[in-house]
Amino acid sequence: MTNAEKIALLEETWELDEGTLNEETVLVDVEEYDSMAKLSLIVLCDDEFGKKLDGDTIKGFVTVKDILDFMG
Amino acid sequence: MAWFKTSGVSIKGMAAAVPAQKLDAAMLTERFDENTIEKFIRSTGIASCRQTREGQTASDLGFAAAVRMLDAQGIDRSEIGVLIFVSTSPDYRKPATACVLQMRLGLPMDCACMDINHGCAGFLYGHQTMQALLQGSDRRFGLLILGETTSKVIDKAERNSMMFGDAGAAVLYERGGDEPGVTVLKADGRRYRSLIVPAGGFRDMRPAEEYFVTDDGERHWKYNLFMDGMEIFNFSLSDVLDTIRAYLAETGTGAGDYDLFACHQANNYIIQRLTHKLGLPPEKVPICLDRFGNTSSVSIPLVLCDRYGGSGETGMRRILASGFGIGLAWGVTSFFVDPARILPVSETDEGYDEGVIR
Repeated sequence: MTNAEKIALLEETWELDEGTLNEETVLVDVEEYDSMAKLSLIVLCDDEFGKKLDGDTIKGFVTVKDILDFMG
Repeated sequence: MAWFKTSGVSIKGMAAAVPAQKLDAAMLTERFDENTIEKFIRSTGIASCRQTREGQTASDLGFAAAVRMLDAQGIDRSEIGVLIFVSTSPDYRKPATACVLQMRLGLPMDCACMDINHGCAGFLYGHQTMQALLQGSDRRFGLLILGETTSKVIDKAERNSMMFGDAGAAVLYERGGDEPGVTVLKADGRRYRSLIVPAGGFRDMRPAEEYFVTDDGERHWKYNLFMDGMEIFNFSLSDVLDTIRAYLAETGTGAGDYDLFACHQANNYIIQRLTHKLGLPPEKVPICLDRFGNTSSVSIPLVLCDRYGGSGETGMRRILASGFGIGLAWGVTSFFVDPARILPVSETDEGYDEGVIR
């Protein structure tokens, strides 16, 4: 999956308009990136990428790129 | 994995009671905007819950359920040899609330009484303990009463103040026959801080600082329930899921062998994920948290009473049950029950006022 496709998947999961996110987007600036969004991210990483995402790793995510790198 | 096995102790009755006082999501509009409320309902699946009034305790709810159940079946209370009260909301620090319930229910002095201080895994711990005790007893019946009043330790200003509802239940066990009991009980104290009321116990009775601060900079009052949502979410979908899968594998059973999966009613998202991952058809996983919230250990008997009570269905149903949460602790078990012996959920506004020492 390309990074563009991964970003589109994040936008869809978090119910954001297409084009809201890019690799440099700082997560703390995204209003919708709340506790519920983080749970959805855990599920997304498991379902789509087979990756287990824990609380400490999530806390370490600063930008969208950090998430994309984790997805692999 | 470690296994608890019993024989000849089966469930012969079930009842549940909730407080008459109802809290609707709509009532929260005074404190939160509609968007926040709508998001809460969508993410948790909880639209309303019940909360005890001042002077009404978890044991009052359990008592109400027990009386209805015992009366409905015409049980001779002198034949009850074990009473277990499962709750993290006892009437007193001491004595055990089970002793007070014994008096209120008119149970004999030959009835062994004890409390089990467990929350969401409480039905599993209570169930196994009851089966083990009753199997070694010469009495006919055992009474498992469960109750929780989490509303009393929740910060009402917090968005998730509606997540937890109050409820009580009673389950009747009878010794006889050869029905096997197979239960797994687990715990992981390394994560004890993920769900905790930090102060008021003997570790920190009257803290100098009444608030503690988490990594995200949020302040939490030490006398209220603190929950690390992400930790619990991950726990539910890894440890708990793995244990349920191992239970099915070891017992040689699958989704098709059970009529219903009574899952602890934590939140809709967790239940949906477990249902999906276990390959269960959704119609076998009933939900009652939309109207009652997360009722801790009571949620398993509550969802069974909600689903089967007054349904008119008869004939043995095979139930798979799993509870998980505070401790952290969790468990899995299975049992047979006849819906005809399960009462519908009732309401009560009663409280044992004489219990207040003046």
